[in-house]
Amino acid sequence: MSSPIVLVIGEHRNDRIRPASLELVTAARELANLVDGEFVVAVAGSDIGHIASEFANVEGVDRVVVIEHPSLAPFLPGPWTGAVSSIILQIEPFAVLIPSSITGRDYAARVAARLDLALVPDALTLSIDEGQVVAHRAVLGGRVQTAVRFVASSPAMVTVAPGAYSRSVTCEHAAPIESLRIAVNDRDTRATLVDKTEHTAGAKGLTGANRIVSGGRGLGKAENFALVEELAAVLDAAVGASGATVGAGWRAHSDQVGSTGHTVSPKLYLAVGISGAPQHLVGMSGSDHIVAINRDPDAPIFKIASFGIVGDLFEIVPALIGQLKSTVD
Amino acid sequence: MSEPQRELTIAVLIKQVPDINAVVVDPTSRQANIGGGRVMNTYDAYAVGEALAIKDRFGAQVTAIAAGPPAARDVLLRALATGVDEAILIDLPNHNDIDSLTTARILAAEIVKHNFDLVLAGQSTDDCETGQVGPQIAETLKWPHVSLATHVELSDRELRVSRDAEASKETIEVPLPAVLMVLSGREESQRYPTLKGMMAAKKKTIPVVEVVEPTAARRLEWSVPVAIEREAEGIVVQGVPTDEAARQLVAWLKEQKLI
Ligand SMILES: Cc1cc2nc3c(=O)[nH]c(=O)nc-3n(C[C@H](O)[C@H](O)[C@H](O)COP(=O)(O)OP(=O)(O)OC[C@H]3O[C@@H](n4cnc5c(N)ncnc54)[C@H](O)[C@@H]3O)c2cc1C
Repeated sequence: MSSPIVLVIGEHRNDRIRPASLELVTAARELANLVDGEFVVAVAGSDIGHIASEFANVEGVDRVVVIEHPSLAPFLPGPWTGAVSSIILQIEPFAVLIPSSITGRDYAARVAARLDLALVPDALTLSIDEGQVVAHRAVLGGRVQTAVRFVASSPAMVTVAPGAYSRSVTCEHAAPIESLRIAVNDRDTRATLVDKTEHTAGAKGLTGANRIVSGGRGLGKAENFALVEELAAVLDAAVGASGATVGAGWRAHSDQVGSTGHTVSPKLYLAVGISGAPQHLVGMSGSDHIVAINRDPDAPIFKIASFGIVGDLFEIVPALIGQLKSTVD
Repeated sequence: MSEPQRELTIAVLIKQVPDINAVVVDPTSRQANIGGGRVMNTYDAYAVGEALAIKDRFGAQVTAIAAGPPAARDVLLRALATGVDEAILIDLPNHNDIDSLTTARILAAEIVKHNFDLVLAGQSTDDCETGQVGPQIAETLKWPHVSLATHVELSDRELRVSRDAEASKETIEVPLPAVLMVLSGREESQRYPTLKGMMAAKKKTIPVVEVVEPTAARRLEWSVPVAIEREAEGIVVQGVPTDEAARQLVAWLKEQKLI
């Protein structure tokens, strides 16, 4: 029997490998080593030969397969479902790792349905126990974790949470590259992308800011964002927002930090009334110093905070503003 | 000659979930105590709002569908009270013991019975957070789906969907029938039940659909969730007076040369 294959679907955007895909390389290499297997990266898109070569130079990659098709750029879940399903059927892997990005999760769910596979999203760690793949993932807003075991579904299919593994680096060796052919079904091409507008650095220069104060649902209502703005003003910081506040219509999407918002890495990130859901953390966990103000001592944000205050933001923030003002003056 | 346009039919899918903000971690067992409160999943409430906004603007018959234990009737009543026309409960007492694909197939089987044009689901659930059921229903029905939807326009059975993608706004065009996963609820489309609506809802019958529990072997097994240990080496100030907590933070910010 040939050795089991661990397959990664590599992601790229704006002509570059996305950093999260380098994390998947690490995850996949570790998993492949546990089963004495081979590790293959598949890259799909249109005109992506150079992305394939870049992947071939990443440490730990045994083989790269390339799938080119015009329908795969821009990203739409339909054609990607067709392409990734076809890759899996041709490679016959033991495990499939997909980046837990917005786009990755969008097609992964459909691929699982098409191929009748179980799918575990947002895996934080992967291991092998008695020959079966076990994935850890967070539930209930990131407060707790569960271990999910694939008992009767093969290949094991997971999306891997960003930040869960360190990035693989490039090396001298170049893995072999080969092409795969796919056919794209008409029923997968019914949706069309007619417009795309990238947010620039955010309303007040969020992505380049040295300091950011972000507000969350703990503020209770849109008007209370005034507190966050005032604190940001005394700290000379940009204002960010959690997904929940954008979802509720309190803030613009261009202010959002997280998986569907901006990725920021300021010197100081101060989170006010934000629980620290995984989708928020991926956008800000690279900040140098993280301060959290939250009344729930179990809020996941405290797990990554360098300085946390457990308490009511409506008391703490005004006190903080007062003291900062007198310090600055 | 074109056929007379029949009224648009929309299914909006709702899950009843624990109140995520009431979840506490037991300090000894490290397990989550989810408490007794059950609410409508956040994103599903946005989906209901969007369905009713579509109904207001373009005319539609809206049916809410929930799969869950008998108590899930409460979220259907709430949906009816805000203006949804009909509700269906799929009897699935152990809805959290089955995987997303099985749930999707059960819901898809109900959807095909009614010939819906459009299915709205929340982007994700507050408790399990897989976000998989919507796309998997679409795949089962062989329909397209659009995720992260924030606004919908409709003309000639073609949808124009605005979505909040990664640090960008996108517009997607897709013909009906389709599945949309709703990410956000614009203030103007949010509905709150009125007393009158509640009274009217209680008079409606909510049919209960029995499904054959899946007999296929379970594909996944999951352990009881437990809290993970704190990773950061950071300082956490708790149980001190407000001014003192603020003073400590200011001192720390200075020490770190952040101010
Ligand atoms: C596909 C998808 C993409 C997403 N993308 C993003 C994203 O890009 N960015 C993002 O942030 N989220 C995103 N989310 C949403 C994410 O899952 C969470 O729902 C969101 O981050 C929660 O926001 P929050 O922390 O403000 O609200 P909550 O989780 O409700 O937390 C509010 C916090 O405030 C605290 N609090 C309440 N009152 C007070 C008080 N008086 N004083 C102090 N503390 C108080 C509570 O203890 C709680 O911890 C996404 C979700 C999905 C499904």
